Amino acid sequence: MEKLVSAIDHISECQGKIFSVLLLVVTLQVCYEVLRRYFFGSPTIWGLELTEFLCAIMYIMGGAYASVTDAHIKVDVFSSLWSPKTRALIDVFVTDVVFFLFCGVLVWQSAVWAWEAIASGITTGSMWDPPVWPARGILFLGSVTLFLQGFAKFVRDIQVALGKRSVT
Amino acid sequence: ADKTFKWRMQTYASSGTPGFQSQKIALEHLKKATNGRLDVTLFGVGTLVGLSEMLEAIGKRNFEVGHNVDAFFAGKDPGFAPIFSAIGLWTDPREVRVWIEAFGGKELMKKAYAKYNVHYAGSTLIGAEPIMSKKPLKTLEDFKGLKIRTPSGLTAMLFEKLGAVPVALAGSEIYSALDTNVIDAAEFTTLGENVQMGLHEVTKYVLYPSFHGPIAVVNIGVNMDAWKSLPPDLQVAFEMMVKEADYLYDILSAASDYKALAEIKKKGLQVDNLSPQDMEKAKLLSMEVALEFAKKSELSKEVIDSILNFLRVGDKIK
Amino acid sequence: MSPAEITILMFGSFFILLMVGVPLAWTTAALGLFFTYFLWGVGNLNIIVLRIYDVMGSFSLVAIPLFVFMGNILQQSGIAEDLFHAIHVWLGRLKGGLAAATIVLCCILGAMIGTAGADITITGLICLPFMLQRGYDRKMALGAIASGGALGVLIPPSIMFIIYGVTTGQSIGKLFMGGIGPGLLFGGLYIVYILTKCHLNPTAGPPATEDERNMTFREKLGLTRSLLLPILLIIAVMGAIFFGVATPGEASGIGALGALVCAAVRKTLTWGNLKQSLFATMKTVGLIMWIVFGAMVFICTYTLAGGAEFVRESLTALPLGPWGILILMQLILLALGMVLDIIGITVLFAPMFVPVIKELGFDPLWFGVLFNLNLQIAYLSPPFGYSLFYLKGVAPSDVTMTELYKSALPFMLLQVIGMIICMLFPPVITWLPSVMIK
Ligand code: NA
Ligand code: NA
Repeated sequence: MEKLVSAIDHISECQGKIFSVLLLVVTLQVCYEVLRRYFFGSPTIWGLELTEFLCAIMYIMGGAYASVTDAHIKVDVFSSLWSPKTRALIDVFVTDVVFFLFCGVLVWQSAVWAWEAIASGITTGSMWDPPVWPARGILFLGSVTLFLQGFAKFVRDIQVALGKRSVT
Repeated sequence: ADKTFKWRMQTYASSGTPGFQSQKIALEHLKKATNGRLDVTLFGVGTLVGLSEMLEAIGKRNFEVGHNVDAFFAGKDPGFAPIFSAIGLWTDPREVRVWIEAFGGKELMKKAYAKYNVHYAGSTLIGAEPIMSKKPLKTLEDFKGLKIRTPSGLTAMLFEKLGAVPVALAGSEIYSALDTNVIDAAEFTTLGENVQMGLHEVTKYVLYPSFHGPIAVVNIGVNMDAWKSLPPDLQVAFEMMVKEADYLYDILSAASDYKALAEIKKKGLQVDNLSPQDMEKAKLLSMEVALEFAKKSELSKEVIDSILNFLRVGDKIK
Repeated sequence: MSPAEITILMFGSFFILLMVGVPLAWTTAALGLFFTYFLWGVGNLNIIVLRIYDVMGSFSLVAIPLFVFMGNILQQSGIAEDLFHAIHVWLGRLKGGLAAATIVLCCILGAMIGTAGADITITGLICLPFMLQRGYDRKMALGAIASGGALGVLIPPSIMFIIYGVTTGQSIGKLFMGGIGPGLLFGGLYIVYILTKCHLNPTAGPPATEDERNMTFREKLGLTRSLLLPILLIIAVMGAIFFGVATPGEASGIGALGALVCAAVRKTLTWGNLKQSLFATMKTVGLIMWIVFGAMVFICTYTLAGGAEFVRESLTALPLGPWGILILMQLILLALGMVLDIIGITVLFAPMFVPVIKELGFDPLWFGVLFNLNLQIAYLSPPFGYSLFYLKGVAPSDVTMTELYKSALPFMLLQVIGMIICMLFPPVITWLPSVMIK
């Protein structure tokens, strides 16, 4: 179990770090587009959509990364007063339930949705007209890693609640 | 029999525009006329789902009714593009209505929508779109190298034939894109709505009416199950509501176009028309584009064939 | 179920779950889905993908990762630190000069950075040790940094304006312009307060040391040179927007590239710095965007259930007159600002308030800026003052939250005064956009 949990952590970390390189790609791509349009009068037909797509990857993939680094914003005015064990108990019965409710539906719905796109070959219908399955697929992939990260947290919460793990 | 139906509807129009107002008034009339049995709440663009996702949302009944810009569904089937705008082939809204009601248009749209569990309940037409520009547009020649905003592939193909550079931008980004010279010109709904968005503040020239697709067809789709659950009298009432909305939109948008025209003239913008020769040339180019586009899908071919056939019967084209 | 009952249930459970400590993003998304299921059944749960997909494809939001990236590079590369030294040399001889310099630095940083968190971390790291070393009163130093850092949200570029613009359909360019006037007003108020207070009570903020004051003109000029690059960068970004090279979204790309160039010129564009900037940005982007995703699902469900319409009707039916309703909205925002994060407030409440504002005949652009002024206060107000959390992260370990709240209090009063000025004299907000964008 311990191995699984740290493997999940590792995946979330790597996912965030690897996809952060897209920031450099988008920066250059946006500047290239501005250059082409403003100075050479020949904008690409794909620039806008590609930028949106690359950023979308970062939004989605940032989810699990922000989770593993505990960056998601929450109100801890009260919870900071509780003992780690109480905190973990409440997390197991409230926070994690809320999380699984939302993320479970997301994994399920995004799978259906991505599959639809693959099966029917839907495109964006723009001038460039790329297929939509990559964007929908990314949403599914990101939901799965987010779900796994939530599962890792759930396991740890249980361990803390049972007194089998101390909080560092 | 006195069961009441509370439905929700998202329109492509943003609140405060004739598109939204006409729909809102027609829905209020519907509620009164049915003694409150059919009560449809209207939501503006973007409040519920994005324009491209509307067909899906109606089909799954996230809301019951959508006021759709079918061009946004072209990714699902390219045939939706010519349903929305048959570019320069149409010259007069009346023509379009005749095609829809009497020459097979309605049946085609019903068929296209049914595939997504949506019932086609009628159309509202947008007429006489302008092109607002930072450069003078007096002849088709002037389109060479023009960076022009247009959302749909069909219109983009037409502009490309003229040597223009089509740029895809969301409606909400047109203002700042014109202001910052990201684009030279834009096509976006009616003159009145262009002025309402302030596009006349950031342009100098207006081509009005334009040749690129002077009439757009905005369709009203209803979730199929919701539609079937409606008693026949309410179904008729709903369809009459759509016709009223179409009529009201025609009038409200014409009124706002008149005011807008006065305002842009006062502001010193130059309003141009194309010569009849250029309009004719644009029509021929439109036909070329349409025939190319017809190859994209079965629906696309059916729609374009049907329109061309109708225009031939009416002797509008050869 | 009536819209009133829905409102109570949805917002009631929202606040309860939030207080228990469930992350904001999960709370809103889960409640949105739960009520969707409860009201319309399993078939409508697709709403989550429809909403997220809509946000994913918004071109205006592209500016968020890139502006955050730009800020992180500036922080990592030491450019911000150079800036502070330059300003300090010129303002240092005044009593309270360092604190005033901190505010000036915040304004300049604000013009390069889109989030308050980055501003505060930077100024906290650079200015706080400096001020404490020179015997500044801790409250003065902490208050100046916390409030000054929040200015980054008002002075363009600003992620809050981008989110507000996308949510309500306002022009982001105009919102950017509208934020400059109040940003400078707030900054000015802070400086006047700091200098007056330190003049009356020099122990609050002693002037710079003899050595620092006796620097030669040449040395001073040398330090001032370090202002050059950042100012060029500001001109590049704002210039790109207002002289027609790029949309605000694209300007963020120019800014990020510019920041990379600045760092390279300063010879601090190391692999380590770049990596830190990339990772920190990714984390921030993840947390911001998932809040937006969640809020979109929540607000869509609430709207479909008739909630937004109910809020609009209830607000306009109040016998308060337009100004009364406007002030009530501000009070609601203030209250929300105590517990909710400002992105959450914007995405959840702006779509409900703006239609009412339009109906009452107020200028939605003016209200948009006012909305964000209000969020300035939210940044400092207990129990949830995000400014203070960021600051706590970089302050000496014996600084308690209570001390931070106390130090923020005078600045919150100044914010309220500033807000009243902007309400009474709308041109503070509307003049610049009306001149710059016709
Ligand atoms: Na800023
Ligand atoms: Na607060």
